[in-house]
Formats: sequence, structure tokens, C-alpha cells
Amino acid sequence: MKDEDFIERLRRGESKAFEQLVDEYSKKVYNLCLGFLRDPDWSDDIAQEVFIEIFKSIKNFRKEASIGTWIYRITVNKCLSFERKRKKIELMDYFHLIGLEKKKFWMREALHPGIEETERSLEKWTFRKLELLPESQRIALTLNKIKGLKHPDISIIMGISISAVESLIFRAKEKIRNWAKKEGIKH
Amino acid sequence: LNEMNPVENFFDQIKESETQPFFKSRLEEKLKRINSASGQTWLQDFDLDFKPALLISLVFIFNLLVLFNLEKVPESPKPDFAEEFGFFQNMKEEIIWYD
Repeated sequence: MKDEDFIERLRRGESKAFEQLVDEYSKKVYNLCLGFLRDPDWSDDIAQEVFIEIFKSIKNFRKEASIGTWIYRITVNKCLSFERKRKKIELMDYFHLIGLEKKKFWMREALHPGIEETERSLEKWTFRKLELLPESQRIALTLNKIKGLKHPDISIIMGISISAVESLIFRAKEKIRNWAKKEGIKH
Repeated sequence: LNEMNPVENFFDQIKESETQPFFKSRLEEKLKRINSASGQTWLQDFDLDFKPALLISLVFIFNLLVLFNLEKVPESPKPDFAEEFGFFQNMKEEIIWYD
């Protein structure tokens, strides 16, 4: 799927090519969304939005990066803008404003489908701590640890240097390690 | 140094999940709608039956706006010529009286 021919077919609007793309990337995109949002329903919606975006803007795709990194970039942007919208709603929430509702209501207590039942308490802890990380550290760590992407790919997706990616991941791990030590989290 | 980060272990254990059922067919539906809607104006997206109702509503709202605005327009103050005239007349009379 790396060939330029395939991208040309996508640009021409060939439905078969697009179907092929969905077959190859739907699971990957969905899992990356889960890494950010944890919620299966929201992740499904955002994954659909990602493919609609690809469909609309494939003509603007420049061949500087691989189509995969371009798709992951769209996915990250979609997930983050979704989260920002939810956070804005949280700020406007009446109960939150008067202090009756303390927890983040937008973060549903949804269960990540790829996590074992025995890991549920650690799941909640980890995703809450990921929330506390600075955005860039969180993106880099999620792409690396949850999606399993290599540093050069992450640097293209995030538009930063490889050394910056390494530093972001190192700092994120360090923070989480310290929190885990402080709070006595054991595996 | 060898102390493993519990969270790192946790990340490694996350399994890949399958997309939700009918992911592809739902996406296909959405794309079809986008394709069929392209090139249409927003008004063309409405059903034909809806158009007269929309037009009547818009005319009605426009009329209401006009009515309210007409009521709210303050009347321009009319100069009270009679009073002014009287004032000047008194002055003239006074001048005449002093003469």
C-alpha cells in the first residue's frame, strides 16, 4: 500500500481503493482512538470521522510522509479536538461551576475493550495520570506505548525532531514512574 | 534501576481491539450521503414539502421584526414653533417697550 499508484487511485476517488484503505487502517485508527479516549463508542465515532476526513482531503495529501503517518496525524488531531470540545462543555456545566460535581463528567467510566478485567483498577489510575501529563508528552507516550510506533514515525506525526520525541517520552515515563512510587502503585 | 514501571507493563498488555460491528457499512452510508450532498446548496438538502413552510416562516418572522422595529423607533422631536414664536414675540415686545 506504499505505492504512489494506490494514492493516485484514492485521489481519483476510486471506491475500491478507499475500501482497501479502510480495511487496512480501520482497526489501527480505532485502537489509537481508544488509546486517547478509552471509550469504545466515542472511539468508534472519531474513527469514522477520521475516514471521512481522509475521504474529503486525500487530494491535499502531500507525499512527504507515508499515508500511515498522515492518517495517524489526522487521528491524533481528531481525538484532541474532541477532548477539547468535551472539556469546554465541562467548563460550562452548571453543577461543575457550583462545585456539586467534582469529577470530570466528560470522561465516562468506560472500559477499554483491550484490557483484562484484572487490570481495571490500574486502567483507571493510568488513564487519569495520562490526563495530567502535558499534551505533547501524552501524545508521544500514547503513540509509542499504546500504538507501538517508533520514534521517527512519532516525530513526523507530531512535527518535531526525533530527539524531542525521545525527551518527551522520557519525561512522561519519569513522571508516571514517580506518581506510581508516591501512590504505591504496583503491578 | 531495574525496577520496572508498572504502567509500562500495563501498556504492553493492552490488546488490539476489533472495530465495533458494522463500522464499514456505517462509514459507507455516511460517505454516500456526503457524495450525494456535494454540489447542492443547503436549501436543496431539505425536502420539497418543507420549502413552502420555511418560506412562510421566514416571511412571518420578517414581518414581526418590521412591526417591532416600527414600534420601537422613537418619534423625531418636532420643534415647537408656537413656543419659539411666542418667545421671539415677547422679546420683540420687550424691545419695543424699552424703545
